[in-house]
Amino acid sequence: MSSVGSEVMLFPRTRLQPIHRQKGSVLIIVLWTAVLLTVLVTAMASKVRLSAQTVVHNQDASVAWAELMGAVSKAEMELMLGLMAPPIDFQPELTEDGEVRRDEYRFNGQALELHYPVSEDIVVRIYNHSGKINLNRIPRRNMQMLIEKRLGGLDADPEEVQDLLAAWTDWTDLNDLEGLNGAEEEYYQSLTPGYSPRNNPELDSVDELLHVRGFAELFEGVNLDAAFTIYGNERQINLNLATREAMRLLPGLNEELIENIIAFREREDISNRVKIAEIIPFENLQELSPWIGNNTSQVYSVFVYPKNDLDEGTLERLLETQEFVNPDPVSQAYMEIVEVRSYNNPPRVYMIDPYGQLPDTAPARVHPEDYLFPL
Amino acid sequence: MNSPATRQAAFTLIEVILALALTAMLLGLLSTGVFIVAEDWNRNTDVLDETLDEALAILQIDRALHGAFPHSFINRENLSREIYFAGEDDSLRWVSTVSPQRNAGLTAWELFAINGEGVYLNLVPAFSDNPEVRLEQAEPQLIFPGYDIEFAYLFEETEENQEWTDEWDAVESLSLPLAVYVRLEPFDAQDSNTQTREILARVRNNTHRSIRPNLNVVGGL
Repeated sequence: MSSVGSEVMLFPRTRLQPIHRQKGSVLIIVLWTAVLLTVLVTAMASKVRLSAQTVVHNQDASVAWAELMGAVSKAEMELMLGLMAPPIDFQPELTEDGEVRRDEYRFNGQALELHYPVSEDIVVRIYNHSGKINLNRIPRRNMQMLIEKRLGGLDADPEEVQDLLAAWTDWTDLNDLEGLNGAEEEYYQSLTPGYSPRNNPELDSVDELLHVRGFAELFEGVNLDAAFTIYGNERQINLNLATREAMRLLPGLNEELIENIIAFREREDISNRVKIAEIIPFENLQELSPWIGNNTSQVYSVFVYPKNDLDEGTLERLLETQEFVNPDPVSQAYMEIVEVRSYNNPPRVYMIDPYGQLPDTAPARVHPEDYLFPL
Repeated sequence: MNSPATRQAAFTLIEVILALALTAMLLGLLSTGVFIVAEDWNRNTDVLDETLDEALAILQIDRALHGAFPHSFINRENLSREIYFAGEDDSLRWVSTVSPQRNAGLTAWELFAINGEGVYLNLVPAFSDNPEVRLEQAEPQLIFPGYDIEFAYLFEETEENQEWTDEWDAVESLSLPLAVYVRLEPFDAQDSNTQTREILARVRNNTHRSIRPNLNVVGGL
């Protein structure tokens, strides 16, 4: 029996010691493996995450583009609906005084609610081109007045005005013969890079104005697409639809009058000369009179962009420092210029600019107590 | 009676060899795994940078084609009014409202490939004349190294039938195609860093405001 006892005594010493040593090395191996596996899994996970993010961004971009294109089509439909006979139960919009508001004056750049509603995150603004100065129909005399106003009105140097006017005439006439102080092929080819003048009374795009000698400086800082058009036959500007940029160029108008015109048309239509005379003093009206009319164009600029309104915090902060804040600060949008001829054919596209520049979209920058017209 | 204790105090040769072999295999597997992931990661960041650049370039080309403009000018030799859009199967020159430098006015674009180098891009102002000479004098930029480029143009054969062609000459047709298809194919198909890329852009502004398209030519081009 003593041998059994000695065996029991022996076991712990000879067996357990090596087992303890083995446990230690296994632990290290397991730990190392765990660390390596973690590194591996983390690397894989972040790679997968990155791919997933890329896919999500791509998807967002595609969806946003599709939504934008959808909104463009709906805006075109809205313009076509305008040519259809109104439904029998149509209720026209009325002013406070009960006057009917003309439906087509909605296309003056205000954010629109369409008959076929678009997604809430998308803003649609439409500008009728009778609110812009038509470069392809502008008489020489009117171009001279525009140039004079840009050069400082009565202080304008007559020689400079005549030089610019001669350059304009040479650009739009059909020949290559230089007028007095004009500019033709020879002058434009001497520039770097050199180019040829249009030599056609029909410009292809409004931006072409910048290529005429001296006009880039003359219209520096002006959003040309907002102020001018080359489409349609209208020679006169409809104040109900006019952009700020166009009105700023017109003789007889100043910032105060422009803001009052915008404030007036936010309340009611400027339907006749009597109403214009309510806003604009007689001396200014005399100058302005030949420029304005009541026609509308069939050509429209459609702007569509994702909504990006100022949040309330920023709006309040800006209101403290500035008197008037545009709650919609977006300045770039998908732009197309279309002509709508009938309601059973899609509009004709004249220009597409995926990165078009919006005109000034701000509401009237004048307080009701400063209105020049009686309320 | 001591024999079982001594036998258990050490491993047999086979056990040790097996354990060592297993450990070596495991470690080898792990280290190659880590090595592969690390290399993959390394390459991925490069590729990601490249693909981001590429994606941006592709997006710009897509938008530039979408914003294609039927730019007209007077041909000084015969005084005819022409429209600028010169599409071949391996190069394309067109005028667009899109300008990557945000320049005012229209921009003339040219895309072409030089064998063994890649796809080059030319950008010049379109002004109001034929931008051909300026494009020839411009300094081209390599935008897709290692790629070849191919084009196809969509036209309406009849009202119901639309067809793709590999050539578009606006001097003849006086209009723009309905859509442009661009295919970027890597020179080296084995290279896993490059893959075929495609652009399909609808041209919405096909005809000039006042110049009538030559319908006889468009169909039989």
